[in-house]
Amino acid sequence: MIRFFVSCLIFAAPLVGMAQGASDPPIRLEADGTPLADVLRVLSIQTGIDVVFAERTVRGRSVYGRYIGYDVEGALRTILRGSGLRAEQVRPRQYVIVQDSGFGVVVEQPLRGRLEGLVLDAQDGGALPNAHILLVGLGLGAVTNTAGYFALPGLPVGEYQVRVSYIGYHTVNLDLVVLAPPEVGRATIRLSPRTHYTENVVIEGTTGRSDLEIVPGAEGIDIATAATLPSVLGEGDGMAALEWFPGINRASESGGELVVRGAEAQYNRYFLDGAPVIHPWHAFGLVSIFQTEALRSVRLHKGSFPAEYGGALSAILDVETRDGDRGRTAGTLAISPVSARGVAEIPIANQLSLVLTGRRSWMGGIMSPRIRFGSDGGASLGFDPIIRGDLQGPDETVDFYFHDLSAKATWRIANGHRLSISLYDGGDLLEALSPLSGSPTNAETPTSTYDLAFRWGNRIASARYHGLLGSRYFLTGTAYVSEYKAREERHSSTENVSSFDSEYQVRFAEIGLRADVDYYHSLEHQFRAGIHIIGRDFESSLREIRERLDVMVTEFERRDFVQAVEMIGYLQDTWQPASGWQLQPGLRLEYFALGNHFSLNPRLHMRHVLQRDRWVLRAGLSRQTQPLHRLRNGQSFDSEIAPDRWIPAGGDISPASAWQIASGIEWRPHRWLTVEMEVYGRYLQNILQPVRSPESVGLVLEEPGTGRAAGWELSARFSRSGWSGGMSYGFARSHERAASGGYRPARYDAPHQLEAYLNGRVRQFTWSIAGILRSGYPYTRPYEGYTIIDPIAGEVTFLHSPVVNNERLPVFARVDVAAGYSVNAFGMNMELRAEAHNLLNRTNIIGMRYMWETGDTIMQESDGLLELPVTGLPILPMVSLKTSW
Amino acid sequence: MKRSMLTIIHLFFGMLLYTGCDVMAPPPQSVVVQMFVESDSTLTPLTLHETFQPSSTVPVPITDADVLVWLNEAQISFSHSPSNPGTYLPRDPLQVPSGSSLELRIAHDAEVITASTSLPPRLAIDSVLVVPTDAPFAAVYSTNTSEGFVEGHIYLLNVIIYWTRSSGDSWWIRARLDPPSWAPTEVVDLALLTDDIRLENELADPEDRDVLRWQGTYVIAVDAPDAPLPAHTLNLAVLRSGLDYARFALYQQNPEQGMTTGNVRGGVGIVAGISTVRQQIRVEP
Repeated sequence: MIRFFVSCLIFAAPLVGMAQGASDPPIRLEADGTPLADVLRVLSIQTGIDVVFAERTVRGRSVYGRYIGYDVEGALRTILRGSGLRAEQVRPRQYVIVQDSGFGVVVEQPLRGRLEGLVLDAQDGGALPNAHILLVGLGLGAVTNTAGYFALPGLPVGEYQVRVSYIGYHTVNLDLVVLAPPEVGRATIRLSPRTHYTENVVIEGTTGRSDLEIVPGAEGIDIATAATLPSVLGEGDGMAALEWFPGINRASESGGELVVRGAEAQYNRYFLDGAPVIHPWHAFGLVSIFQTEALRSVRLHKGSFPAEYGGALSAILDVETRDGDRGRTAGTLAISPVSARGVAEIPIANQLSLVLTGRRSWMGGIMSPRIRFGSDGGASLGFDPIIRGDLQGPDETVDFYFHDLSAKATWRIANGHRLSISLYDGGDLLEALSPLSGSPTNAETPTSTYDLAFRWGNRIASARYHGLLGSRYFLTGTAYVSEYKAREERHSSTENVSSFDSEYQVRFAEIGLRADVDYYHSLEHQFRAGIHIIGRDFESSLREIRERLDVMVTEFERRDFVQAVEMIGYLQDTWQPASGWQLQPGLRLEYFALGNHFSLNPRLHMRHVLQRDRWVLRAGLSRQTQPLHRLRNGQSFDSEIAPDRWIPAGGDISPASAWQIASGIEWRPHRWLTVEMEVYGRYLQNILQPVRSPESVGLVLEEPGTGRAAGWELSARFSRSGWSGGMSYGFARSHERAASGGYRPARYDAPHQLEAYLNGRVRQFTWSIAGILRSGYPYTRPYEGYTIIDPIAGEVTFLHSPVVNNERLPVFARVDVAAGYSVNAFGMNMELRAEAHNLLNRTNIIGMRYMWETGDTIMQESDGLLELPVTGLPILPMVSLKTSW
Repeated sequence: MKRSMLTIIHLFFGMLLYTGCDVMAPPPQSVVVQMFVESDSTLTPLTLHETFQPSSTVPVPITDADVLVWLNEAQISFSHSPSNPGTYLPRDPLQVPSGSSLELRIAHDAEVITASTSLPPRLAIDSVLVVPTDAPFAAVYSTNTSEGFVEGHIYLLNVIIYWTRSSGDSWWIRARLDPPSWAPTEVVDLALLTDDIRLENELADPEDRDVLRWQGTYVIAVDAPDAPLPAHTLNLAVLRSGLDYARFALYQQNPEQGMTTGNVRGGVGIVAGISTVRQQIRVEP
């Protein structure tokens, strides 16, 4: 504990370094026909104040005169006398040079206006959330909300140089005019995507987060780039590609949920168009449910969250889908040996557009001989590939597929008002039909079957309204229903002898209503406040019927149902006290009706621009709570296909909570190169550890435990001349402690992690390579054994390991490559793509099993124990063809 | 700027120190505690030994521990029995009534090991029903005495055990059938049920909640399709205990490495109050 807080102090140290004292030197100005711009720059250098002006405003003006003194405003008046200009103080030590409306007469109350507008995709007119609008001279700016709207009130009337940037799009520099009230200049800024699908495009732009990003660890994902990175099934999965970013891993060898900074996946929360997604993965974590071609933005918070986010301890992934092209019908079709998918954008009317997506896979024949279905990896249905063929019988048929269907309609009611409705339905199905009459000796045994069916999936419906209320308020209202269901069905029968049927189901549904309001108070303060009411249902049921000899029936039925209500309110201020400084204090209040748990979560983030467009320092401190605990399901131990259960905080179970602290520095030596270093610490409380339970359904809970993590990430990214890439090294530890023990490495603790990716385009060819080299995950090696004489079972010998996660798997390494060839013909773009996963065909050891006795040739003996190394996937090739128009 | 960079450099080396240590030295051997206390019986001995290295598989008894037991807050002294190394006996024979609580404190090599349990109500079986199939059927099965699977014919026998609810507490039941050693232990295509752990409340008869029943299945092999069911002896046992024992017993069936499932703090093993009934049933054709 002490070490943790010492670490926190260390992390906070960079903040201390930012306190820079300064004292104003005497001002000495002498000019004899000197250009006004030069004199203003000299004044700025001498006094340390910011003097902001548009070049065209001061062009051709000269200064004659002399000033010696300490009064900055006096110096400015002297310089500007007779120029028709005046200096307007916008904040302490910051002045903007504007036209003097009184032709030399000083106006007592300077006119101030508002700059507002929308940032849209130039191709389809869709809103761009989290775009950055920077007033270049002032070092101030704004970030667009989910409707692409921004506002900067309280600006002196005049012309401003504005830089608008958005990850994956060309940065735009333009001059915008702030009009005198009551006129309001509303700008519509259209950004062009830096798409890879166009020939001869030069990809060049900022690779960093822009000076305006406040929160450390927040990443805006360049979807177009992410889609070109290799992914296991050739899906161009932008979300799966997150594993190439610093601090992010996958729970299993090639799939599984996202592990962010060593935290288990259950501490992440995912949003799709404002609605939570409970399990956003298909195929045991190989691919995400999000079709990359339908995504507008993907934003990841790796630790410290703004006040509007909550419900997770580790990470937030916020995904926004496209609104649909307003001008033309556009679409994408793609096919590979394992799946087909499509996206269609259909303009219904001038202000109404529709996006439809669909996907279906057929993977049974490919996957079934090679996988063992395990809950490994923190995924609710994790992927632990071992060549065992557990389900494979002699005449067995295995079918596995997943599907997605989604629709989004967007109605732009009027300027500043928008309504969108999103629907999603997707799921996975695994069926194994096993006629077991092929007995070892082919005897005339009764005809038998053993059938399994596993289904799981999400359904989501959401409606969202964006509206500008008056001149200073912007309302975002969201209503949603999100449901996750998983069901196991088993049937086994031996003709005329016995049968067994069971159906086990878990269901987790969330219905929510939230309202978020942005209040643009002034240039210094922008407030965001919101309320959020959530109702959750948790349900699990088990039904078993055993029949023997058709007359003797054993029935067992059990159903658990819990409802929980959560109410949330938050308030956040984005405060820009001075040029280059930004603070974001926030407070989030959460109430969990089940158990009457109140939680007050403070948030504080700040950024300081040490040198414009070069050095940016960020820091953050936040507390987060998570009212849901995800548990591996005890019922499914036999099959190792585990539909995990979620349980709410309530009664004796407190919400899990975490303190996060992070600090980072970003350096942009060139516009195309960004180097970042970030340190972070995390302290978790009330995290529950699942314990094996003999209960028929579910698990009992151990006492709440604690966890801690700290790390250091160094990364570099570039984007230039059609090539982009990144390399990162992470150096981190993550520990957990159950109530009864000491700290031990957490399940996904990986002290060293080196990742790199590179992709580019040469004429019509695209190339992409990505690799990872990291420490192996911890595992538990039993060092000892003991014997107990059970009262009715007799002598039983156990393996025993006093310490969990006491060993580490060998180093994990993987290299994936992808290459594509695209051609434009008949008004369409066609891309043929080939990928290879685990290019070096390296045999990674991804797990270890132990047994006392021999009997399997692949086991090897070590210290008297029989060790069974579990190996990962071999090289996996994949080809796909994609057409877009 | 320089101050910030210096701070970052200090931070880097601080993190190096923090993340550098990854080796977890294996701790010394643990103390294994075993004590099953039967309700309404005399207090049973306690055994202590050390965990063994996998290469040896021979437990080393602990003979010098100080053992104290509290039964309903009354202290009872245990002393080591030199004739049975590792076994500790109560100084005076003592009857342990059901419903009692029992706490254990063991001091050994400066380590303190504790455990506690409650004694369940006494279990009594009301009746046992054994129902065989009318005739044997063909099957592929294996036995403890045979190597691999063989073809043959088997009778399927369902066993239903009835008893009466004794209290409202949530106790756990472990039921176990021990057919003759020559009986098949595994049958292709047919799931036998000879060892089961269930929450007692879930075994209530739907028609009479006070009547509890458990149903198991075993098979007996015969030589010919028309052979009668051979007479044989079935040993069965039913045990009532708490969650600690149930978890321990389930672990026996599905061992998962690295997880200690007993209720001994500071050591490993199990201390459980139990109530056991054993019956030997002669099954005639």
